[in-house]
Amino acid sequence: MKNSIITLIALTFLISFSSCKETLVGPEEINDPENNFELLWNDLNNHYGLFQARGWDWDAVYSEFRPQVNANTTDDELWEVLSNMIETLDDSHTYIGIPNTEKQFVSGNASTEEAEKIFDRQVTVDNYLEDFMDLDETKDFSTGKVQNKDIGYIYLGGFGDSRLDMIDDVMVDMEKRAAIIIDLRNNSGGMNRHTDHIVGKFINDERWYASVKDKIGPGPNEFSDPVKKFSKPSTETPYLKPVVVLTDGASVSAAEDFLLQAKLFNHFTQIGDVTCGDLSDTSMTRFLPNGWIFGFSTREYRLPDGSLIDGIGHHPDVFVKNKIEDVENGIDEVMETAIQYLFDQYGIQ
Amino acid sequence: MKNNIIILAFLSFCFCCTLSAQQTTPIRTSKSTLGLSAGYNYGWFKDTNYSPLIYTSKGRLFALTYEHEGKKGNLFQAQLSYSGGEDTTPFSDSFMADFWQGDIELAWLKKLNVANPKTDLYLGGQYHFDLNMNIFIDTDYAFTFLFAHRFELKTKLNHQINQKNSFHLSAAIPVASYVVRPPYTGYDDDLDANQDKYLKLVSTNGDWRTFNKYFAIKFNAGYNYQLTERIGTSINYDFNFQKESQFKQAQHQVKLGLNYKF
Repeated sequence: MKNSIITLIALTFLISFSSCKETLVGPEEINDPENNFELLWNDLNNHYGLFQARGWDWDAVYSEFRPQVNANTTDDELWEVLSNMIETLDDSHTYIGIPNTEKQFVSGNASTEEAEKIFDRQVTVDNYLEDFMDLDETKDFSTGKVQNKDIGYIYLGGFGDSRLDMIDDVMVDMEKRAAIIIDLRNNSGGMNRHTDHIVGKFINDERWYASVKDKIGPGPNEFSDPVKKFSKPSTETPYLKPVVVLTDGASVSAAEDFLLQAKLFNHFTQIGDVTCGDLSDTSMTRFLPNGWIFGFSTREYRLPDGSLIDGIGHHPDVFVKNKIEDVENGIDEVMETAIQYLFDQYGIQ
Repeated sequence: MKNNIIILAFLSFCFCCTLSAQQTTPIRTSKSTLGLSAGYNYGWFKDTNYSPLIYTSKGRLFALTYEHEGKKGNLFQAQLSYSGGEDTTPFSDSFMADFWQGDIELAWLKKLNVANPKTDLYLGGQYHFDLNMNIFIDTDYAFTFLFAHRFELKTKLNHQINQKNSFHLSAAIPVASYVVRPPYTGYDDDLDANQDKYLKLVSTNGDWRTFNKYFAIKFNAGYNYQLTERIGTSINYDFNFQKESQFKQAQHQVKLGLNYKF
């Protein structure tokens, strides 16, 4: 009896331990150039949310780029092919990268790169602002006042990890200003819940600003039913005096979500350049066997009239764009235009 | 370090209990058993919602168990367990993720008639909440989870080898489960809105499933050695397997424990 019990226990252990990984959870992916290409292409094919909205033919992209990869393709060559492939999507939510390195390629990033060259925050701070302070170490949330004017200034470089919960404290000082400039230039986006909270300080009404569909399956038409998104006040005493929002080609994603809501209200004016035009949300980080990561857009946002911001961007009410030489000479023409606009339209000085 | 201190404190407590038991040596039939164990969890998971790669999960494991034998010999069992550690893949050190697992099991088992007086056989039902969470360390902008509220059929066999030695085997499979998984694209507004509301998170946007859409099995084999009338030690091996359309997980768990009968 004793021997049979020991045998039974031993067998139990043996059976379980001998059950190999492959039997239990399936085969491991192969790390070769062709499989890495296939995995990335297929992942986008199954999950990317903007093929139809943007009119991209992903099968045609496969036909163009797949022959460029074979078993002998080097890492550098594969990087080039994948970069060129995702560039066809013209979508800065779509990228490939290598963790813990600087190596990253972002699709459709030309407007961002240009905008980064023609905005120097220090020029704005030194020559146009007073009482300026960064509210946290990220320098993505800062406040101040336009020199010798009754105009408040808020810089939002992103809607991510900065101390955006401090907006309530900021508004205590801002609410006495005759106008506010909200600077979204070089805003890299972030979480929509942060956007909603901040824009809610400046609006007094619930308004339908977009409908969102999520990809819910691999088929090209497998989307969720559209969900209406409404702007909502986040305070009982919103700021309803003139607000100018400064934008450039690097104002992206959550910054564009901010504008979607703000531009439904007449006291907002957008001044600057057309925004990036990438409103959708980025997927979770995705992984490839060669150690690379990638991500892409997963949602389709449409305005109430059915139009898109993705690929188009927000066109400003007053178009103005800095020149590199002006910035080098300490001139921020976008800022000057905003100050002049507030004087011309509202007599604020 | 913190875990080691807890284990040390626990062992000290059990040692004191042992001494206490040796001094008093009450003669009565114990009906309840409280157990605490610690061990190691080793397994694999593949979740195509998260990554095409297979990850190896390794980490510590802690469990608290309670068992009560009713008047007719039926058993009530409760177990609370936690395991945490790291997920790794051979493809890149940068793909490391943290994992957390938690289980709550509540079972009622009816004693069946068996000819062998040294053997007890039980059959019954179990509620089993199984929580699995994996978060990519590098950016934390990739995660996956499986929360399963499992209603299981469970069977258990106890065999008393002699006065001090016994072993047990048990197996449980869910017949119906409420399974909560990330959305198809990994993330949506509901997750964003509920990320700090844990109770809501584990019950939001799930669906009821049975064998064809969600399969799981938990097998346990254990050996007990009674040190004193009240204090015993145990070694347990658990094999856990679960799978649904995108998620497969297999785990081997070994844990050593101390039991206190009262």
